[in-house]
Amino acid sequence: MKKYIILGLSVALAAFTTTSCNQDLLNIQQKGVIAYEDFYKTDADAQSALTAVYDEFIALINAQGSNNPAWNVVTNAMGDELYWGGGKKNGSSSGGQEMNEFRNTYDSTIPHIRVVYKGLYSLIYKCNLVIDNFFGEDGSLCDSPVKKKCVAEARAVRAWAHFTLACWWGTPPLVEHVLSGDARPTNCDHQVLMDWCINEFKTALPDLEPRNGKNDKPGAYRMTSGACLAFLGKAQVFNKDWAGAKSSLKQVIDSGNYGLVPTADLWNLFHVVGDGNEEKILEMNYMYNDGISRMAWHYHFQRNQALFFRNIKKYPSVLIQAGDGWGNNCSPTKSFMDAIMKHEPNSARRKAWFVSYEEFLTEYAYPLPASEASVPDKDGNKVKVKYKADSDMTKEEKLMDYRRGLNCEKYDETYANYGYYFMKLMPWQSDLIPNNATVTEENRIIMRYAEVLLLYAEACAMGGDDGSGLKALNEVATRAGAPTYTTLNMDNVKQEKWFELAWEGTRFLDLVRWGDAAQALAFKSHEEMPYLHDDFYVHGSGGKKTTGQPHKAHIYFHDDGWAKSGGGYQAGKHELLPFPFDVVELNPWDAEKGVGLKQNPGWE
Amino acid sequence: MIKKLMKMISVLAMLLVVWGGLDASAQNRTISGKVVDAGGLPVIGAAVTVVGNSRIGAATDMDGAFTLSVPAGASISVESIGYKGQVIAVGDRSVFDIVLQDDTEMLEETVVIGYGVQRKSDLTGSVASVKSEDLADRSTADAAAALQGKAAGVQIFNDSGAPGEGSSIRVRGISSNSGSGLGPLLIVDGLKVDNINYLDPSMIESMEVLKDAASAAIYGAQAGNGVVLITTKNGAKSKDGTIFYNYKLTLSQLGHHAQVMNAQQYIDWQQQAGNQPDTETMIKTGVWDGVTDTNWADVLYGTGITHSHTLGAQGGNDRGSYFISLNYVDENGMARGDSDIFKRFTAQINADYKIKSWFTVGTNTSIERRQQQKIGEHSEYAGGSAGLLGTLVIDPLTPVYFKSYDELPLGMKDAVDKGVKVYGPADHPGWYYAVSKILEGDGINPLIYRDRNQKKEEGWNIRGTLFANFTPVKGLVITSRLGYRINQKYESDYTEPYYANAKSYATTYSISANSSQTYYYQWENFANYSVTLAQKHAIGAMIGMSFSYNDSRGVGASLTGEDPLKGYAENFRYLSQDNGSGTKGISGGTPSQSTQLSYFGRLTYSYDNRYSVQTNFRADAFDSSKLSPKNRWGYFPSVSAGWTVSNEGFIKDNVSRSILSFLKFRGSWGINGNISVLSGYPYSTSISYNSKTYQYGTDNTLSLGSVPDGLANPNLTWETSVQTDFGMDLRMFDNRLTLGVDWYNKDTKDLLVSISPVAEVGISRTTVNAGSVKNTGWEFELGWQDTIGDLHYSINGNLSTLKNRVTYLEPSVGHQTGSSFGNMKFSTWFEEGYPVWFFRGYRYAGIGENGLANYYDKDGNITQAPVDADMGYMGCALPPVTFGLTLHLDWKGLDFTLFGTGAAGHQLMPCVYRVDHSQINALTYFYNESGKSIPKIENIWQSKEFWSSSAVVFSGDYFKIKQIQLGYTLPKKWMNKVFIKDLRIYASMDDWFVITKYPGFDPETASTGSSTGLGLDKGSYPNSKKLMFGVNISF
Repeated sequence: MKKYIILGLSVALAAFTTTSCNQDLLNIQQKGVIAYEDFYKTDADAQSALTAVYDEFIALINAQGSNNPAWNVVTNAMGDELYWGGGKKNGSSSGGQEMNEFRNTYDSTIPHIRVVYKGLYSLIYKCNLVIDNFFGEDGSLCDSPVKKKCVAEARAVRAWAHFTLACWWGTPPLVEHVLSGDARPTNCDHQVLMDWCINEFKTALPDLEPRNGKNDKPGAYRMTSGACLAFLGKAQVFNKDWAGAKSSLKQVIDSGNYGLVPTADLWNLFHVVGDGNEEKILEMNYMYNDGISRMAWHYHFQRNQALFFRNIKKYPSVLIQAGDGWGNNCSPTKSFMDAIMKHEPNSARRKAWFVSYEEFLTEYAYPLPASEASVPDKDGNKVKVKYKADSDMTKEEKLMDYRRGLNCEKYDETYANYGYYFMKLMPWQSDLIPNNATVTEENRIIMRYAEVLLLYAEACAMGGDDGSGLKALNEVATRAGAPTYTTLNMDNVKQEKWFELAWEGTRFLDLVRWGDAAQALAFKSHEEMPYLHDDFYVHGSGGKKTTGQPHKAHIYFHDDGWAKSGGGYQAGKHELLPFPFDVVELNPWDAEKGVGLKQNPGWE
Repeated sequence: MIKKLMKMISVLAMLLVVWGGLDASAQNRTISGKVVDAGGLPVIGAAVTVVGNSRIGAATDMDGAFTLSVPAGASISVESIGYKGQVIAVGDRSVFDIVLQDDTEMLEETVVIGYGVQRKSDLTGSVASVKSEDLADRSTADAAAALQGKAAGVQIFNDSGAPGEGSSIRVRGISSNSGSGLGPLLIVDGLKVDNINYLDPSMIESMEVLKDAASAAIYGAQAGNGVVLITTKNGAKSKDGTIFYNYKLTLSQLGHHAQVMNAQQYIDWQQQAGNQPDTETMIKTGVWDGVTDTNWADVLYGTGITHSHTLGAQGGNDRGSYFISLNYVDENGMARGDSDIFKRFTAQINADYKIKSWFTVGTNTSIERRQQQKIGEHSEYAGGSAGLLGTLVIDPLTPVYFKSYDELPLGMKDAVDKGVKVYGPADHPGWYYAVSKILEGDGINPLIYRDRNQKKEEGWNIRGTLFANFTPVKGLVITSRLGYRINQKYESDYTEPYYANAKSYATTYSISANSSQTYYYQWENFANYSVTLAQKHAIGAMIGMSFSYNDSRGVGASLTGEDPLKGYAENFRYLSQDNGSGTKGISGGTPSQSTQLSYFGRLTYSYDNRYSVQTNFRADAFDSSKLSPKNRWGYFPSVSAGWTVSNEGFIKDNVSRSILSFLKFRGSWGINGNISVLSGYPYSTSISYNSKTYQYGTDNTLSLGSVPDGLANPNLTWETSVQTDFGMDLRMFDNRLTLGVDWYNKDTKDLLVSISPVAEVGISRTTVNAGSVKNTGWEFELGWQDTIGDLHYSINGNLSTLKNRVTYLEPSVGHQTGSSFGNMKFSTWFEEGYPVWFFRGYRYAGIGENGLANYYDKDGNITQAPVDADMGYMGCALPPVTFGLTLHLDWKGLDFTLFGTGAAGHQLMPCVYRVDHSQINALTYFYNESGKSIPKIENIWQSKEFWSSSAVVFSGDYFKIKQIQLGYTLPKKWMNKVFIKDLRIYASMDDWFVITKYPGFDPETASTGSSTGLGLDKGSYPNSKKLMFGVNISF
C-alpha cells in the first residue's frame, strides 16, 4: 500500500515541478515590434527616431481638418489676401469660411484648429523621444556625432513647433520632456516661451549641418543650420530683437547656400519642378512611393481642394482638371487685387500668380481642338458654331469661345470671386503622382529665402539699416519684376511681403504683430461678398442665353447676411486662436492647484 | 510563491497519509473482514470504526480487507462515500464479510463542480444544474440555446437565427464595456473550450452553471462571467450494452416577424409625406403597375428542412464504461434556395476503464466537421450585406421579377447591354430580379444578395481529454488530465461584378480564402480527498495545478480585379487560377500564442450534515501577451457556508419530513477575474519598428523610422468581480415541492477604458482600468412534481431579476458610444448611472397642439426643437426580468412537454425607416399610429429627431412557447418481441407561439450582432418556428 502512496505522490510532485518551475513558458515575445528597452541605443536608432520626427512633421502639414488640410486653413484663412470660397456661403468648406470671415460660428470647436494643435504636440512628443533618449538631462547620452546631430535637429524642430504654438495660441504649454499619461500641463507665459524658443534654436545650431550649396536639394528637406538660423531670425523679429535678428538672418544671406530663383522661374516655385531649388530653406519632401500606399502623407491632394476651380468648363492644359463641384475656388480679395493692380499691374509676379478672368481664358493653352458646339443665342435658341483649335485662335476669338469660361448653366455666378484667380499655388498636371488625376506630390514650403530677405529688411527698417536692408527688399522686388523701392520703411516692407508671400502662412501673424489686423481685416465685417458672372451670358438666364458679348468678368456684390449675425474681426479676441474645445475640457484650468489650461481671452 | 505552494502540497500530502492510515490498536479482541460492494468488488478505504469511540478504527486496504481490535460488546460502523453506511454488532464473531449497498440517492444528487463533484445537499454556492432530460429532443443543435429558460440567472442571447449560429450565454447580467469576453468560461469534461455550439444537446449528460463567485472562484481570473461546466454522457453500468438511434426531421418557417406596410399603406404614407404624386400619376409614370403588392419576407423565406441523425452505443460494467455517438445535422435554412446551410458531423467517444482497482484511465473525445454558409445580416446599407434588412426596406410596389428587358430601369439595361451580370432566377432565363424604381439605393431585392452570396466556411475540430485517476487510498483520487483542441478552419468567398442599382454594384471580381488553425492543450493535475470522521465530520480537500497553451495562426489571400482569373466557370473560381492581372493581398502569418499557469485548492468541511463551509483559492498567472510580467499573478479567494436547518434536531424532531423535507440557507463571497478583455500586449509600449518614413533624398527611397506605439501601463490588469450571494433551498411535501431562492450582488471593477491623455502628451489614446459595473438580482426556481395514479407530472419555473448599472467611468471619458443606425442621432451609450449600452436619444412627449412632435428637453420641459444636450435615456435592451416555465406530463407511455420562456421590462428599437432614405418602407405600426400616438406622417417623415426618439423604442416584453412536444413510448412488452429496448416517437412545435407587442422582427434576435448593439434590431436572421418529428430507438 505504501508504495502506491509514494508512487502517487511522486507523480503529483513531478507534475508540479515540471511546469511550476518554468515560468519562462509565460514569456511570449510580441511579434513585429521590438521592446522599448531595446531601442534608443545606437546611432541607427537615433536616426530612426529622427525619421519619426519628420514623418510627424510631414503628417502635420498634410493632416486634414474636416474638408481641407488643417495647416492650410489655420495659417492662411484669416489673412486679408484670400476669400475662402466654396460652392456657396455655407458649403463643404466650413471651418475655412468661418475663420476667413470671423463668423460668429468661429469657435473653439473648429476641427482644423484642433488638428494643428494636437499635431504640433505630437511632433513635440516625437522630438522629445529623441532628446530624452539621446541627450538625457545633461547630455551624457549624446555620445556620438550622429546622436549629436539627431538631437540638434529634433531640438530645432521642437523649438519651431513651440514657436508656432506661441505665435498662434499665445501661451501654450511648454513641453520639454515626454509626459506621462496623467500629466496636466498648464499655460506658459508668452515671453518666457519665446525666449525659450530662441535659446533652443541657438543651442541646436552648432551641431546642425549646413546646406551644401544652392544645388543641395536634400539640404532643403531637413532642419539644417541655415533653416535653424532662419527660424531663429524670425523668432527674434517676432520678439523685436532687431539686432539679434539682423545677425541671424545675415548669416543665412551670407552663407551663399540660398538665393532667389530667376524671375522666369517664379512659375516653378510651388511645383515639383521647383522642389529643393535654391530658394527653399525648409520644405517637407513629398515623394510618391507606390510600394507604401498606406502612407497617404507621402503625397497630398487636400490642399489642392482649396484651390481647384468650381464651375469651369475647360481647364488650361497646364492645370489639373478636377472633377466638377470639387474644390473651394479660393481667390484673391478685392483689397489685395486693388493694391497689387495699382502697384505692379504688369509685373511678372502679378501675371504669374494672380491672373484675371480674361487672362485665365486667353493666356494659357487649352486642350481644345477644332470642333463644333451648340451655342444658345440671346433668345435661348441653339445655334451650331464652329470653333478653331485653341492654338489657332486669336485673343478675340478666344474671348468669344463658348467652349471655355464659366459654366453658367451650373451656377450663374461664382461665389466669393473678385474676377481674379490664385494661380500661384494652383496644382499642375506635372505635379501629379503616377496614375492619379488629383493627387500631387509637390513639396510644402515651411521657409523660403524671400521670407528671410523680407524679415531681414524688417529688422533693418526697425533696428537701423546700413543699406543691406533696402538691398534685401529690392532683391525681392526686382526678382518679381516689380518697381523697386528707394527707401526702407515699414510701409514698403509690409507691402512687398504682402504681395510676395500671399497665401504662404505669414500674413495674419504679421498683421497682428504690426498692430494692423483690426484695420486690415475690417473689410471682413462688410456684409457684401463679390460674385463673378461672365458677361458672355445673359445674367440670370442660367447660361441658357448668351449676350453676343465677349467673355468678361462682371462682379456683383451680394449681401450674404452673415455679418448681421455678429461676425467680423474683434480686436482683443481674434489675435489668438482658441485652445481647442476638447483640449480645454479634458484639462480645465484649476486655480487652486495651478494646473490645467486657461482659455485665451474672449474665447472662454 | 511556487516554493510556498509546494511546501503546502507536501504538508497536505503528509496529512492525507496520516488520515489514510488512521489506526488505533488496543483493547480486547481482534476482528477482521472484507468489505465489498454489491458487485463483489472490494471497497477500498472504507472507514471501519467502533460506534461510540471513533478513535478506534481502520481503513480497508486495496483488497477491501481490514483488521481491528475492538472492545467486547461493541458495534462497528462501516462507511464509505457513495455507499450506504452499516452498523454491525460484533458479538462473538471475528470474521466479517460486509456488503455495502450503493447510496443511489446520494449519487443522483451529485453536481459537477470545478475539479470535482459534490453532493447537491452539500453545496454552499449557487449552482444551476440542467440535466439531460431537459435538453433532449430539442430542435436546436446548439447546446447553449438549449439552456435558455432552464436556469434562473442565465440569459441566452441569440444574435441570429441563421443555421449554425450559436447563442451567447450571459450569467448574471453583463459586467463589462468590452466587446468580447462577456460570456462565461466554458468547460466540457474538464476541457476549456471556445464555444459549445459543436455539442449536440443529445450528447450532454448535464450542464452546470456556476453562478456565484464562490463556486466559480476555482477558475479564478477566467470566472468573472460565471462558468458553465458540461459533462457529456457516459455509459451506464449494465449487464448489456445499448445501441441507440435518434432521428429528427425539422421543418422551419418564418416565425414572428416585423410587419411592414403593404402597397396601399405604403402609397398612402408616401403620398402624405409628399414623396409620391397621386396614384393615377404613379401608374402613368410607371412607378407602380397598380397591382403589385410584394410581401418581401415571403419572397425570401420559405420552408427550411433539417435532418438530424444520432447513432450510438453505450454500456459499462464494474471496470469500465463507454459512450459512442455519431451525430449528423443537415440544415437548410428557411431562406429559399441553398444559401443558408449548416452541416455538422460530430462524433463523441467517451470511455473509461479501471485497469487496476486503484488506477483508472479514460478519454472524452469529440470530433467535429462543420460547413456553413449564411446570408449577410445586421446591416442597413445596400453596399454592405443588407440581405435581410432588404426584406423590410424595399417598397412593396416593386415586383419580384422584371420579366423582360423592357421592364428594366436604365442602369440595369445599360449593364445588360455591356454584358455586366444582372442577377435573375436560374429557372427563367430572360427574367431579372427586380430592384426598386422608387428607391435608388438600399431597396435591393434580397434574392440578389442571396445569389451573390458565396461565402463559405468549413472546418474540423477535435476536442478531448485523456485522464488517469489514481486512487492510492479510499477517498483520495489523484487525477492527471490532458486536454486538447485542434481547430482547423477554411473560409472562402467569391463575388463577381454585377449591377443592381447605382448604389449596389461591383465592377471587379473578388476572390479570397483564409485558412487558420489553432491548437490548444492543457495539463491539469489535481488531488481530491474526502473523508468522514466520526460520522459527523465530512472533510474534503482538493489541490491542483493547471498549465495551458494556445497557439493560433492563419494565412489569407485575396485577389481583386476586373478580369483576374483564367476562367470563371465554377471550377476556375480559385486563387490559383489567377492570370496575373489582379491585385493581390495577403494577410496573417503571424502566430499568436498564449499560456497560463494556475494553482488552486479547495477545502470543504461539513459537520453532521448541518453546517458546511467551503473555501476556494486560486492563483493565476498569464503570459506576457496579456499582462506585464511584473503584474502577471492574480489571487482569487472565496468562502461560502451553508446551514441545513432541516437536519437540526429541533426541526427533525418537531416537523415531519413529509412536510418539510429539506431546508438550507447558504451564503458566499468571492473574487473572480475576467481575463478575456486583455490581449495583444495592452500594457506595454513597444517600438513599432520601421513603421514611419521620410524621404530625405531626391529619389523615392524611403528612410524608415520607429516610435513607441503608445504609453506603457504596466499596472494594467483584468476586470475583477466581487460577488456576494445569499440563497435558500427548500423542499417540502416529500420533496414534491422544490424552491430555490438566490440574491446576489456583483461588483465588477477595472473595466478597460481607452482614454485620451491631454493633447500636450502627444499621444492620442491609451488604455487604463477605469470603469465599474454593478449587477444585482434575485433568482427563483420553483418546482412541483407528483404522481396521481398513472399520471406523473411536474411543473418547473424559474424567474430572475437583474438590475444592471454602470457605477463608474473615468470622468475624462464621460461616456463611450456604441452602435447606431444609419445617420440617425441616437446611439447606445455606456455611461455612469445607467445600464450598460442603453439607448440614448430624444425623449418623445406626445403630439403638440400644432401636430408636431413634442419632446422633453434636458430639464423636463416640452420642446419641439430638441438639441443634442436634450438626449437622454430611452431604454435598455437588457431584460430586468427573464423567466422560463416547463410543464411535463407522463401517462402510460405518453409524454407531453410544454416549455416557454420570456423576458420583460426591457426595450428594443426596430431599425427600418431612415429619414435620409424616406422612400424605404416602414413598420405598419407607424402607419397605424400616424395621427394617433405619433404625429401625422407629414410631420415626422423628415424629422431625424422623431426617428431618434423614444417614440421608436418599444417594450421588448415577450413570452415565447419554445416547445410543445407530445411523445409516445411504445409498451415494452411489445417491443421486447422485436428486440427493441425502447421506442419513442414524438412530434414537437418549437418557437411556434410568440406573445409580444413588439412590432419589429423577433424580440429574441434583436441585435446588431455586436455587444454594443444589443436591442438595435437591424435585420437579424429571424428565429423560425419549427415543426419537428422524431423517433428514438434503442436496442
